[in-house]
Amino acid sequence: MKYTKLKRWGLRIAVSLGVILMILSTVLAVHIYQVTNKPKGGVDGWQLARIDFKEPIDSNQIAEIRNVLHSQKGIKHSLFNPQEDILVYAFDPEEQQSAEVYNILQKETGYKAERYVVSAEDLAGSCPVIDKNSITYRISSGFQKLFKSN
Amino acid sequence: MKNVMKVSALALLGFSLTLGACKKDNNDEAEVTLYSKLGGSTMVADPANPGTMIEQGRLGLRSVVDSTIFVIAGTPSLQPYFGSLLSEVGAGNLSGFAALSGSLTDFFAVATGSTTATYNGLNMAAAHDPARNPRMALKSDNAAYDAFIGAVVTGAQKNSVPSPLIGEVGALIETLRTTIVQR
Repeated sequence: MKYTKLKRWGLRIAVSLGVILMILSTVLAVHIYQVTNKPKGGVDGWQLARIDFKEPIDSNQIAEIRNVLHSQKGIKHSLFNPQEDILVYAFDPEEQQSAEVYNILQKETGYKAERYVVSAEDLAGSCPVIDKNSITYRISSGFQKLFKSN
Repeated sequence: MKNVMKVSALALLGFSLTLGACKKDNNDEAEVTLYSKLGGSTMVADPANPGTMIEQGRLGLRSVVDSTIFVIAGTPSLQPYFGSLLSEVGAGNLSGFAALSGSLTDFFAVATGSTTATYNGLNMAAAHDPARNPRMALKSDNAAYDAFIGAVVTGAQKNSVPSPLIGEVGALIETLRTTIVQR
């Protein structure tokens, strides 16, 4: 008699936990869906790129380079480091490609420059912007893939 | 079935109360934190996301962080530590820039006293230790950390953050030096 009662309660608790787990999973899934499907804005869609100039660039030339850069579509923001003659810019990868930006800058300005491409070695040892081994990352990316494939 | 529903409801209520108990009291912001000096939790329009609101403190920090990231990307001595910033990603994926902007803003928001932000990344010691984090190929040294602080200061200046507040941010980052510099 007691055993049956215990069994019944055990079943109730198990079902309750299952219901709670389902509700929490649904809330998490809805949250991830909302976050991943919100209209793109801010820096979420931005990609950074860098061009290293191989000759001294003065302030007039910096202005010329930035004019040419910002006349191209998809360019969001830029910064020129005059001490190192390095141009860093952000662009929207859905509208622009860094190779194309570099080609146009070369064609329009003619300054000696090189497009900076990250080596696999540098990439492997770079600062962790996200821990791809974490459970949170795996669950989130799983949900993201699920929503993107639909 | 009724009993199951009751038990579920009670358990869910208990779970919610447990979570609620973890929430910090909003009165904590009464003590003037750096976050509140930067605007705190006052909601303002987000200039980067038309139609959405953002806490003024978070907006200020995000602007500084984004400018700092540009400075970092243009500083060769910091490149070995931040290669993922400039790595190309396909359309629709979160780039290193966007990921770092979000996680660094969260980290600074929590560190400066935000009561609403959460930081879910690795702790600073683990994040900068190659033995515990395979994505960190080399340990940071003092020169790299100085360059990083310089980048943050430049980022703050580009956003017209008042000098005393830049000093406070610098002092805050300085407290992490012994944890992050590991060689």
